[in-house]
Amino acid sequence: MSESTFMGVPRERIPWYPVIDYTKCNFCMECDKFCPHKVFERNEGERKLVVKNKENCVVFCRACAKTCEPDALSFPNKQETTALIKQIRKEEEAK
Amino acid sequence: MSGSEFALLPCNGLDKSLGQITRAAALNACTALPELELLCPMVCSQDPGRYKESAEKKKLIVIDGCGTRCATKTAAALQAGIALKLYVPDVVKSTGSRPEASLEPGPGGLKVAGEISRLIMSHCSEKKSEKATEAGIEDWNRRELDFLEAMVDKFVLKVPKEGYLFNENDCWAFVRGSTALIGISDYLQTRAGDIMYVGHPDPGKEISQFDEAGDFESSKSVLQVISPVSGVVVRINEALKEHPELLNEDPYRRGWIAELRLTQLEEDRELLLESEAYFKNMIDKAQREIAGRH
Ligand code: SF4
Ligand code: SF4
Repeated sequence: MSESTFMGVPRERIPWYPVIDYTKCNFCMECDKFCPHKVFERNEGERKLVVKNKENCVVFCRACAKTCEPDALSFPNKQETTALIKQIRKEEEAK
Repeated sequence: MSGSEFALLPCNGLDKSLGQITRAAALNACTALPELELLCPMVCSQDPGRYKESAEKKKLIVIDGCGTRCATKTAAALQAGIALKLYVPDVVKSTGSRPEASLEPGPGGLKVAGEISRLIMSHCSEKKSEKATEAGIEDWNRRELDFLEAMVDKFVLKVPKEGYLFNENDCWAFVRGSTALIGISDYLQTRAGDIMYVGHPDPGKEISQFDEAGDFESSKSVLQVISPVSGVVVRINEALKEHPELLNEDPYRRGWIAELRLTQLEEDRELLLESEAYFKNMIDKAQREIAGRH
């Protein structure tokens, strides 16, 4: 998926994906069941769930957070992300 | 206060603490409003015919305890329109209380159950003022549209040739002077499947570009509307409450979701696509999705 872009910006340059707060997560797996983009991965061992395919996460989507009852998922600040995308676009144009 | 127009369908999560909150909330509401019909989720799934009449005549209030959303799925099987949908984890968040993990709801769980039953009662007592739809919107809904069309897999996906601005989250804005209508693209409605419920943003709410501006639900999934523009919600499409299927049938016209008073269109435009560019982006996504599935 490295060729994918969002508004012309290479996806890997946009840090948008869920972060799991393991002090809250109870590994109910609702988020993984919900997300159609295979962002999460189930594991053996202590951290039974990890955010594996960060770049598969749809920029500005926060849908899985709603399925998380203990509120263990967080996302980056949207304004900062928007500003970053605009800035990278400017840099690319200037090249 | 009357509940006679409504039927209440709680989820079946008796084995989960949030399911027990659902049960307590349903019992509260039905005790307070004796005319509110209570549907048994088990009977609905085993023998949907039993509730055929209620499903046809009444509007459903659905309570889902967890992400399994079994009540919503049961409602889909009944083919009943959902007037109000309550999701226990949302109410947990809005009340800020901590439900106990036990099956017997404690003070935290009962507080959530109390709030849910209050929401049900207030919905049942709301006077539905039949607002005359503004003539402007009626004309807008009936405009002829020219489409760019592509066949991907077995689906024909359409994008109007002009007038619409899109974000890459498959939502559109149609600017009308100082306001814009927003909605979802044909691609997004196709991905969702049969839409059963639309959650509108609250009128008066200030939304910035890429914020959530409502959500919608099919038996497959819950999806978000991600606003292409920044603005204040001035109006919502009331018709979708009764006819969520308009989102599938006519996503670019009668399926509009909300109208926003624009606050920074020029800045927002920088991250929006016009029809041709969105059309390419959409085909690309659709093809990648299919490739991923096979
Ligand atoms: S935000 Fe959306 S795309 Fe990203 S992991 Fe959650 S559901 Fe999947
Ligand atoms: S939904 Fe929340 S609690 Fe459940 S596995 Fe995902 S992050 Fe953990």
